[in-house]
Order: sequence, then structure tokens, then C-alpha cells
Amino acid sequence: MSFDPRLPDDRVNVSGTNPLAEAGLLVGGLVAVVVAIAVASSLVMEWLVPRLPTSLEMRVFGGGWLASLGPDDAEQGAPDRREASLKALVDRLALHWPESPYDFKPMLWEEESPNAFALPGGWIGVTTGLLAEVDSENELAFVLGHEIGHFRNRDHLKGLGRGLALGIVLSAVGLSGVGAAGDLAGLAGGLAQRSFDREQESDADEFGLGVVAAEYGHVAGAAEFFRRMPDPEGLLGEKVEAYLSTHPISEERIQELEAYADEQGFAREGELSALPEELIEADDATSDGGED
Amino acid sequence: MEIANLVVFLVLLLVAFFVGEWLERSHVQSIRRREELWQRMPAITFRRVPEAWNVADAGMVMGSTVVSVDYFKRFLAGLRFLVGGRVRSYESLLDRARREAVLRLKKQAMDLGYHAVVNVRLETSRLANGRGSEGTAGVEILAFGTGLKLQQPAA
Repeated sequence: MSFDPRLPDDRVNVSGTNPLAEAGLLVGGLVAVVVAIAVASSLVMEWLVPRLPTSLEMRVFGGGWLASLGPDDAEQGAPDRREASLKALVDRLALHWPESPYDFKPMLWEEESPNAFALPGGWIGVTTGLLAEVDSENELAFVLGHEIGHFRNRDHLKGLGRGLALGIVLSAVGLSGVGAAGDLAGLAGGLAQRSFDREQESDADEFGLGVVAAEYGHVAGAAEFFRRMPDPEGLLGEKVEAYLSTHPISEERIQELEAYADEQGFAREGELSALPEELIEADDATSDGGED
Repeated sequence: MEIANLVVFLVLLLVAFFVGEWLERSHVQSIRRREELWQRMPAITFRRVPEAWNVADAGMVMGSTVVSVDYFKRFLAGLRFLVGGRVRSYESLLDRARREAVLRLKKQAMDLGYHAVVNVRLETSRLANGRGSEGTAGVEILAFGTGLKLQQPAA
């Protein structure tokens, strides 16, 4: 028997496709699927949530579910003077929405960044940072009116449903260990849901403005609050982040507010009401602890 | 800073890709060169010694390589695990590892003065990375066989 030397075939066992193209295709596919699910779940929520009775929402979320969810809140147990004062203000504002099926429950969160949230069951989360930031009752009333607007449109449930659907998909993606490709898909999914958020925000703005106009007879203070907030200029990253934040503040939003006020014939000037005493104390407490 | 994380990730990924491609290309070149150089050294899978061969001496020879995946390949494979299909990003890696192992086996056989290797076998085992089942440190490809000294070298 003779030995006939041959070189091994070096093509059969290697596919020889372009790895970058494969990566592009797979990432693109993943992003497309996540975006499709994000949009589909948003549409489902738009359809489903208005059909859910409020009584069901109250039964599920009316109790102390927030406490167990745990915003780190020491004064959760004892009735807080600031929360009582907020409650009084919210109840006063809610009178301008007589059909409201909700008993609003404001809740203070120890958190530096100014923000407020509408949460299922009539809970309104208000950060101490927000109390530190507002200068007048009118400004606070606009923010609270905005949140009440979310309840009227039931955005809080829509947002929850959307977020949950996206979260489930992203956990499934994350568990398969694709690392930052999952982050990218999450970012894309979040962006896909932005247009739904945007519309909710401007609807809630308009409702909030209506509440302020009905309560004080003018809308002074509402847009001023936004004006004082830091404008996201400069780095692209910051701009993108501002875009992705829960309550994006843009010149556009302020202009929309002013245009809506003019359209509705709301007086833009007027006397501002002072914040209730209790809430000013909160202001001091936060700025003492919050600075340096 | 989600955006910053993504940018860092993308840069790492591209660096890993280009470095990995460059290393792979030079390794494949080196493999081809040695395969050509040593192609007259038989390394065959026969279990029996061909009858015409007059064996003077025999002994075990082996060649082994340990490989691990790079950042880019792992990323690509991770995406592949979502949808299934051929994990192409690992193919070239394992192909190189197998051929390198066989080359090392030949090298050892030649160094020991053998003229041929028969009953060549390839085995693969996974190396744990000390983090339990999460990921793998790499795989070992072992090529082993029986080196033969012939009174008259195979023709």
C-alpha cells in the first residue's frame, strides 16, 4: 500500500460567512422583534385598559401594595404632615374632575430628583426633590393636575402594562446571555414606546393646565416651573437621556403648553399662591440633606 | 449611562472582532504552512498496522490544544442561541484547534523519530472556569495515536 500525502480540506468545516454581517443580521432581527413586541403591547394596552373597570383596579392596587414594593420611606407608617397637606391639595384639585372614581393618595418619596408619578390604585408618588424645586402652590398644583390627568386617561395602567410586556421580553433576551445586545434591544423597545408616552404626557399636561386654570383662574406658574428646570443642552448623551426620561422637559413642551393656554383662553398672568407651610418645611429638610 | 455603556460595548466588540480576525488569519497561515511542510508524515486513523509495514518500535504520541472564545465570537454565539442554527462563529475556532492538535501530534512523533502515526483519535473536553455552569474557560482538543518506527519507511 502506498501513502499518498494530501493536505486537509480547510473549507468544509468552516462556513466562511462574514461574522460582522451575521452579527448585524442577528442584532437587527432581535431589535426588530423587540420593537414589534413593544409596539404591539402598547396597542393592546390602548385597547384593553379603557375596558378595565376602575373598581377592579382599586381592588387590586388600592391597598398598601406600594409599601411592599418599597420606596425607602421611613414615615410610611405614621401619617405624615406633608402627605396630609399634599392630600388636601390633591383633593381640592380633584374637585375639578367630578366624575373621578379615585380616592387619591399622595405619597412622599425621599428622592432628590424632582419627579411625580401616577401609580395604579390612585397613588400619586411625589419626590421630596420636587417639593424642594417648586416655588409656589400653582407650580405644584400643575404637576399634581398633570398626574390626575394620567389617572383620567388611565395612562398609569397603560404604562404599567407596556413596561411589563417589554420587561418580560427583555428578561427572556437577557437570560440568554447576549449582554449588551439586550440593552440595545431594550433601548430600541423603549424608544418605540416613546410616541405613546409623548402623547400621554401632552394630554396630561393639557388636563393639568385645565385644572390649574379652574382652581386659580389663571395658569401662571405652570410653565415657569419647567423653565427653571435644567435644559438638556450640550452632550448628545445628555440630550438622548433627557429624551428617554419619564418626564422629558423640552422647549417644545413649554410652547405646547402656552399655545394650549392661549387656545383655551386661560389667563397667563395672575397672582401666585404660596406653598402650604408643611411643604416648605419639607423643602428645607431636603435642601439641608441634599446639598454636599 | 446606558448610552455610554453601549458605546463602550460597541468599541470593545469591534476591537475584539478585528484583533480576533487578525490572529485567526495568521494562525491559519501558520497551520497551512506546517501542513504542507509535514504532509509526508502519515497520521492516519487505521486501527491496524498495514501489513506491508515492518514495525521496529511503537509508542504513544499526542498533541493537544486549548482554545477559548473571544468577546466577539461569544457575543455572536449568544445571539445565535436565541434563534438556533449553526453556531458559525465557533466553527473556525474549533477547526483551527483540531488541525493544530494534529500538527502537534505529528511534531511530537517526528521529534521522537517515528515514521508514521496510526490509530489517530481526536477527543474534546470542556474546561470548567470555576464559576460553575456559567460559561466555560475553553475546550481542549487532544489528538493521540500510536507512533511507529519502521525498518523501511512507508513508501
